[in-house]
Amino acid sequence: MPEGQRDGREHRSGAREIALFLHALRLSVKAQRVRRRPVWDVVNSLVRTRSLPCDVGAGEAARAAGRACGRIKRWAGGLDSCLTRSLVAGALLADQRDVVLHIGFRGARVAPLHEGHAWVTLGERNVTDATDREHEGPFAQALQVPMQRREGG
Amino acid sequence: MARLTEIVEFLRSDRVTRTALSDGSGVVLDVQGLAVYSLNETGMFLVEALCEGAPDADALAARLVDAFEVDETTARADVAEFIEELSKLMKS
Repeated sequence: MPEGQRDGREHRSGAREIALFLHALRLSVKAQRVRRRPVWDVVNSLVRTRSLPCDVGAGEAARAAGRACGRIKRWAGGLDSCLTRSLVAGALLADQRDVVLHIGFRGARVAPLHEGHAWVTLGERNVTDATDREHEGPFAQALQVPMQRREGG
Repeated sequence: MARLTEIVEFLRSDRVTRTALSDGSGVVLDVQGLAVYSLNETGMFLVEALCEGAPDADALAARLVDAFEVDETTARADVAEFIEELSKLMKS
């Protein structure tokens, strides 16, 4: 590939990544409300966020959510958890069909008795989970909240 | 009795999910306050019994005696402790 063409693609890819990160950062600030508001209120607020990008890839959304929540924790002492990451990733994907936030539990090997976890699915695909979690056993689902974008409000 | 009625209303409300796990234990999740309450097998049994309509503490204790082969005194103490703990969760 010619040098100039490759540089151009990398530049566009980098710009898209930065833009996505900034959207995710905005969403991760909103996601902090989950500490004092019901989950579905926070989901409603996130999916109403204006000017979010469309057709974001599942991997891109998960990476941007992870980075943004990590930065919020580092810069402002915010909450960076599977729940906030899932809320942000779900909001980035919510223009697509069948985006669902899940909260589940399973028995834990050490105290406390149970381990809780949140994740997002796009159709059948688990978007936010690291693949190495499943071998520890499945999570029994406690809550499922569809995430469908509705701009404005 | 009034406290037990409040607990049943709380457990059946939209703000709460009950998740039974394969080992008989379970989790009550208060979605509104994002509080999680881990229950052992006995606790989950009592939650389900309450939601199925066990009318009072005596009925709950009787079910415990039948299901877990404990004596009545122990069962009553377990039920009293369970009610106390769930009341705390509702206030949190």
